Amino acid sequence: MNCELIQRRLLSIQDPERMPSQLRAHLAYCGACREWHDHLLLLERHIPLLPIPRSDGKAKLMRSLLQAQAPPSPGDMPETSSRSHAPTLWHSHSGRLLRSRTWLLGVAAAVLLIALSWLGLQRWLQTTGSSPPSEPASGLAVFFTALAPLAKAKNAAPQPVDFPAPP
Amino acid sequence: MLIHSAQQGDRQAFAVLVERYWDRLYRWLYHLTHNRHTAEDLVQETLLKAMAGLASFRTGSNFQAWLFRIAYNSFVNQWRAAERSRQPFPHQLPARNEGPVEQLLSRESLQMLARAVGRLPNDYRAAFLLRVEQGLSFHEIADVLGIKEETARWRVFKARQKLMGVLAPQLDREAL
Repeated sequence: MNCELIQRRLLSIQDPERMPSQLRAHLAYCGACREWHDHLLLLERHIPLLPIPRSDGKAKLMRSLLQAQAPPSPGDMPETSSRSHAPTLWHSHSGRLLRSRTWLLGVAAAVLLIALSWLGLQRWLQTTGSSPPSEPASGLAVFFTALAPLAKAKNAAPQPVDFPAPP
Repeated sequence: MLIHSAQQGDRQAFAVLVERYWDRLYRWLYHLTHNRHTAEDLVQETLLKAMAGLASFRTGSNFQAWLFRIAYNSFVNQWRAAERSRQPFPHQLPARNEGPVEQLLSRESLQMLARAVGRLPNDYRAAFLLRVEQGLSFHEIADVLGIKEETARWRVFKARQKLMGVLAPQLDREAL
């Protein structure tokens, strides 16, 4: 096979780095074709290295793609996400929750205390066998006495709760 | 999986595809257009068209070939519109730091190669770069360019032949 034909075949194969055995056999003894083949490989390896100007188009498109996505509502966001991206939101939400929970616990404790006192008083009256002179009035008095501090606290302005500044 | 998610409207998944294919498309289109802004516009147009038409993409077929086909159609439309005001290939290439591989070819040879690639007819250049830079087979190149496989082979052959005609004597001189 002559060299011109070999070189044409090298130009037409898909990958000049993977030659058929017939071409390899020719290159094994033909120095000129071997050199010509080396040049072809050198050329192809340098194509991906040809310089092109930098582009910031990708960053722009990525930004617009991701910004076009509707932001999730705070309720849909995982807790870690709300903490890391919206610390103020997370702290204010947490503060409101904490204040309302404290208030509810206080009311529940007061009601429990009143109920226990009322039951204790009833049992004591039953065991002594004497009815108090003014039982309903006495019961209501105990009830309102116990509620008085709670009502006072409810009317007072809520105190702001200090939270650590977000990192 | 990623393409499937993107087909379901997941923009994050599509953003990953943009990240993966932007540079390849930009590089190829820059070599075809010789203009940074035109290439950027064409890449963006290609990706937005792909996003809009993602539902029509058949899962299991070659996504890269599909994307490059959209890019080539966009390029052909743009090229036809701007044929008269086409810009010449830049003589001064952008600066680039020399790495160990680049030292194999001198700066002068690299400039010569870049100019020779720039002077190839569009059809040859498109096919040749798809083969050499993107690693597409002749069959896939034919699919992208809408031609027969043998025509794709012929165009790559002609591009190689022309480039070797320019570069081989230069390399021979440098070897002396």
